[in-house]
Amino acid sequence: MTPDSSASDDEPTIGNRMDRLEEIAETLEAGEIDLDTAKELRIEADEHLSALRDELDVDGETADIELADPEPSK
Amino acid sequence: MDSVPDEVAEGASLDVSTDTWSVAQVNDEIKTVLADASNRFSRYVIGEIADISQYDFAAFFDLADTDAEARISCLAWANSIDKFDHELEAGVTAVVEASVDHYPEQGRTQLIVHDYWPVGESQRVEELEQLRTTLSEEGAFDEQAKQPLPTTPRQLGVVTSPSGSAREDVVSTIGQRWPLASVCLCGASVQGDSAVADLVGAIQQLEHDPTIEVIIVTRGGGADATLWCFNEEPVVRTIMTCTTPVVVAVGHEDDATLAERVADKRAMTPTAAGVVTTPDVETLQETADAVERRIEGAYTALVEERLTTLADRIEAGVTAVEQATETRDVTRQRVVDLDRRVTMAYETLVTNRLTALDRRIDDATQAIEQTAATEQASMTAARGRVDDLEARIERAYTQTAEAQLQTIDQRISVAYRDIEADTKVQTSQAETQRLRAVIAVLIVLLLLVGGVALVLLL
Repeated sequence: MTPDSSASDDEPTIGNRMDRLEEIAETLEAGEIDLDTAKELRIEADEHLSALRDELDVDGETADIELADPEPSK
Repeated sequence: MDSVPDEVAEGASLDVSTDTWSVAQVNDEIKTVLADASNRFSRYVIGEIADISQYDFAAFFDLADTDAEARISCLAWANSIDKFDHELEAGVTAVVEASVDHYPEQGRTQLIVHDYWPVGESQRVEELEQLRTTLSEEGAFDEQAKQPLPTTPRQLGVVTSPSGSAREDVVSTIGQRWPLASVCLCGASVQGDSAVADLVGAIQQLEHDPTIEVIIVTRGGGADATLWCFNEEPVVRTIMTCTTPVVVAVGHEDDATLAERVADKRAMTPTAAGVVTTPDVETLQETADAVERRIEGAYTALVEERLTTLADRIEAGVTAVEQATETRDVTRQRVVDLDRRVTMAYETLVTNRLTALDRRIDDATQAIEQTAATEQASMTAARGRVDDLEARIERAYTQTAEAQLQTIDQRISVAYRDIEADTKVQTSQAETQRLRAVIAVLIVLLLLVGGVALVLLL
């Protein structure tokens, strides 16, 4: 997934989380890590999944805004 | 139609059965009037071709007088189209040979086109081509100039007509696909005189909002001629210079407007614009579920594989320890056996050596005893010889002494006789005494020699 333009430095976006989860899955599937690292990745994946589901459960809103005085046409 | 009297407008005395017409009557009357006045219309009409819909039996299109925003529907039957020297082409200013007709069923007046020929590209088309060329040279259409759309936008801005169906289409599509996103709608005219200024203002307003991650500029269906504002340079350049990704969806399938060409993404309809700017939350959730299953499966497999490996290693270790224990026991038994063998061998060896030594000592003792016996015999023999020698010495001494004594005696007798005969008797006596002393010494010497010989023999 491409990075979201709204991504802040300290809070991963949905896209970042999905990318990281994919990365974790590939690392675990490769099976070339020790058990401690695997456990850490598993915990990190659970955190991302939990945060992801929380984020996906939020509903947005629709707002109409007034059109400001238009700038003169070029 | 007669003018409506004031009393009718006010709902006063009006005979509905006689003073009013049905719609059909109106349409029929229009058709009749038009037919009667057909000679009042020119056979040739000039305008810009737009909104062509072609079917096997006929083609429908509009002829627009763009300066006055006037337009009229046209119908060309297939047999007429077959006679055309040119293909119908939207945006082209053309002359049509036509007659005016009215369809009472729809209350629509239109031109029945019998012939058609372009009179050259319109001024606007020329300007459009010039702008298209300029933008192309500037690289505005290059793929490298396109910005990627955010994959999971939280805030979308939509520029569209506040009253059209496009608004509802795009909002509902976004809501269904990506309900967590918020939509900021900025209404703008999408056709007509104010469209360019409205579109530019709305796009810039959303562009200046830092929370907006993507801008959708869209409109619902409509005539192709009304799309012209999306070819206007201010609109096109405003979209081109947006730092926020822009999607344009104005539904002109045949020939993209310049706004669509410079946009970061083009979509056909408001619904399609909602689709291209948002992920499907259900798909995303399914993807997350799939990734979760992959992670769980991979983790479980990895742990099980590691545990199996560890179990195998432990099993191998236990086996190795057992084998080492067995080896150690065997070695220990060998040590015990060797100890026993060494002890026995040592004892045997020592015993044998001691026995041999004992035997050698016995032999040596016997040999010594034999030697002692032999030496005893030798001593005995030696003693006998000593005795013999002593006897021989004694005899020899005695003989010698007697001979000496006889000699001396003779000499003494001679001397005595001399002394006696001579006055020197005294001297002879003295000599005699001296000789006797010598003899005594000799005897002592002989005894000593005999003793020494005896000692040597022993």
